[in-house]
Amino acid sequence: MRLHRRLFGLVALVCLHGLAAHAGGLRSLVVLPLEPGGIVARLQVVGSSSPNNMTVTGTVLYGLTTRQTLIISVPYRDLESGDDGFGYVTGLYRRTIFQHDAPGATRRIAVIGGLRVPTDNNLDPQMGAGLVATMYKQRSEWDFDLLWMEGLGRSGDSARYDVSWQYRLTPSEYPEWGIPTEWQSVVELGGRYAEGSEMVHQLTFGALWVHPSWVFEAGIIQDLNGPDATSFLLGMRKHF
Amino acid sequence: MMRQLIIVAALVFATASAFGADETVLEIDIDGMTCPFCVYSLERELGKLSEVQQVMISLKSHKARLILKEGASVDSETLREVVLTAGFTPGEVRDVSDGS
Repeated sequence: MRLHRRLFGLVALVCLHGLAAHAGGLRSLVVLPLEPGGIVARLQVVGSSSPNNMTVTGTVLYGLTTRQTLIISVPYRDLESGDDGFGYVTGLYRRTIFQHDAPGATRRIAVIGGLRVPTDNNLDPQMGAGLVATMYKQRSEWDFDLLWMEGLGRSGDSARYDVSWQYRLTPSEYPEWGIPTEWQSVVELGGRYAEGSEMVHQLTFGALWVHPSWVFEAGIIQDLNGPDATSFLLGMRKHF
Repeated sequence: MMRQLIIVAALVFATASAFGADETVLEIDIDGMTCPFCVYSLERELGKLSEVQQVMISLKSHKARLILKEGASVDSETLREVVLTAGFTPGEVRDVSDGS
């Protein structure tokens, strides 16, 4: 039994590097407005039974100005092996460089850049940059993000991409006045790359319950190659 | 007892309506409003203006309606600035106090 647990732990450790880049998904990076001084806190749990692990990621977005946002993200990993702990602390700066608004629609592009600092002494930081785009029209929202993180010293490179489509299920038509709550469906194609292993592509199906100051989200993530893992995702966001 | 409560409530409502006849109501067109979570800050920021008594958002008609406090006024540029700062694109500002 003990040997079994150790083997299981080894498998989990092998997957650890991939997990560091795994956090996120379900439209994690979008270019929607956050007012100066505004704060959005996000808590996301991604769990998998094979290997048995769970990652809890806390993220805080802070509006520096109308077009500039600071994103701080801290994942906590709970592995079957017992090697629990914090992974990389990620600090990203997002600047909107293009915005075109229309009645009930928007197109926005932002650049992002920042650092991933390990809490583990055996690793070195990563620094990187990327691009995020959001389009919204009628009942559909499309989000695209691409992020490359260059490993410094002993850390390898990593990268991720996400293409997400959300569709407003209810209400089919907005009320004349007032901000309603919404149900949205989400389909997302993403990819996670860590140096030394192939890019793992993932497909996510999920749903969002959107309240004016709260969002609750849930999804199922299926690897399309590589580990072939199926994960679940639960999350919430609060706008302060 | 219930009948008395209803009468009192009706009197209060009628009095409030009579006072409300002089209130200033502004509407501003806003582009880029797409979802409840995004416009929450806009509603809050408009509501922070000291002259504003009530804010209503219409995602359907892409506009905000502001009921001002008695005797208060807000210039269009101030409203546009608040909308821009919240991350949206302001349009025309109209005085709809007469119900138009």
